[in-house]
Amino acid sequence: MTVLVVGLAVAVALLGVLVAGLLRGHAEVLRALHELGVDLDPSSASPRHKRDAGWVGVRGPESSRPEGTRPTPRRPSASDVMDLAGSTPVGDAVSLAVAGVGHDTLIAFLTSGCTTCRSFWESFRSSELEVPGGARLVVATRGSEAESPGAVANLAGDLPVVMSSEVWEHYDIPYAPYFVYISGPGSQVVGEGVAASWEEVKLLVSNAVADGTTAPRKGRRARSAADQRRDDYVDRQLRDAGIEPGDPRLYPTSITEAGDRG
Amino acid sequence: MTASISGFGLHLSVPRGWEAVIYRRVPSAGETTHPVAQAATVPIPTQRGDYGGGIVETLGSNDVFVAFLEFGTQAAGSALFPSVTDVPALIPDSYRARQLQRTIPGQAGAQRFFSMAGRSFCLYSVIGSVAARFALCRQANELIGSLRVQAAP
Repeated sequence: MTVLVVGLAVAVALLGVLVAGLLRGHAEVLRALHELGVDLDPSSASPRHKRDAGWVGVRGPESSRPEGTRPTPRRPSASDVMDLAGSTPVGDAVSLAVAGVGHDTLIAFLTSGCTTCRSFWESFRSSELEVPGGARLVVATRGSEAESPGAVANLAGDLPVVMSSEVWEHYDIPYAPYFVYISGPGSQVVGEGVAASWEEVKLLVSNAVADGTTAPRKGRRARSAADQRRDDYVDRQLRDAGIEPGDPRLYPTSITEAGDRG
Repeated sequence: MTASISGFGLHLSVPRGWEAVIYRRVPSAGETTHPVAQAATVPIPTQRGDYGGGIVETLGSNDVFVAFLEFGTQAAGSALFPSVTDVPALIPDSYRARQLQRTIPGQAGAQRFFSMAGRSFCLYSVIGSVAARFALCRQANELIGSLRVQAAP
């Protein structure tokens, strides 16, 4: 009898240790997911959280970001963006500008091997591809030390592709496919995350753009009130002189001609 | 953050807001091709001409395009391609509408020929507005001055 009781006590103790280990593992998984921006606690999920569940990085300007959250685990600021410098699949050296420019950029981080990426490569080759927000679509793969340039070239067609492991590391890409939407005029990441299909990406990017997280005057440099007043004054003067937009006198064919007219 | 790119013995430091590509077309049978470096303040498409066809059409009045087209080693040091130690800078009045490969209203182009490190080059630049040539020429020279050339192997 004593042996039986002792045996049961030992078994219960072992089971207790096992359960404690499982709980600890579960907590670590939850903590890791939380750091990636996924909150599984239904009591704390705001409507925005629910809508953006697959687009974990979508967030507004710095001021509206909840304190302590970060776009990705090792990128401390949404404005920490770098231009896409690397090589093309055919071996050209290339640098594509994403910050301090008039256009937005949607970077698709893809591999040549993953099954989900295949559907994106196919969608991107479509001549009727519509990128939400009017953004420029650029594919980024790892560098030639980790990807086959030939395989990428076959998948890419005429798509702009930058092969660079440095870009992947800078943007701290956790897995592929992964998407990062950058406001060119704002020089910051306004949305990022995962999606299973191009339709899903379009919807999520549209939400980010509609949230007003990119510069509203896309394609134009921000102008001061003084500059705007000066522009309006010049426009009035030209109109008073009978010169309307498109007037050939606004487009001299030589500097000499411009001087003669001036 | 300024990016730098290197390829085919050419190196460019790319200022913020610019993008650039260094490439060499695959030669067809009996043809010889040479490296080309292009930079612009507008997106550079994958389909484009060496002199900026497909790019210059998109230039706004504040935009600049610059290309360095190599002509090989045989012409280096000739009368057309004088040897220099630094890439020749452009001046605002270098830009002329009739220097364009294809006339586009409002735009102006400039062209220079030179040799560096035993390699001959044509520098070709287009600005989106002749009226803004002073400011745009300054931008072009920032990019032009960043070119580094290695001797041909």
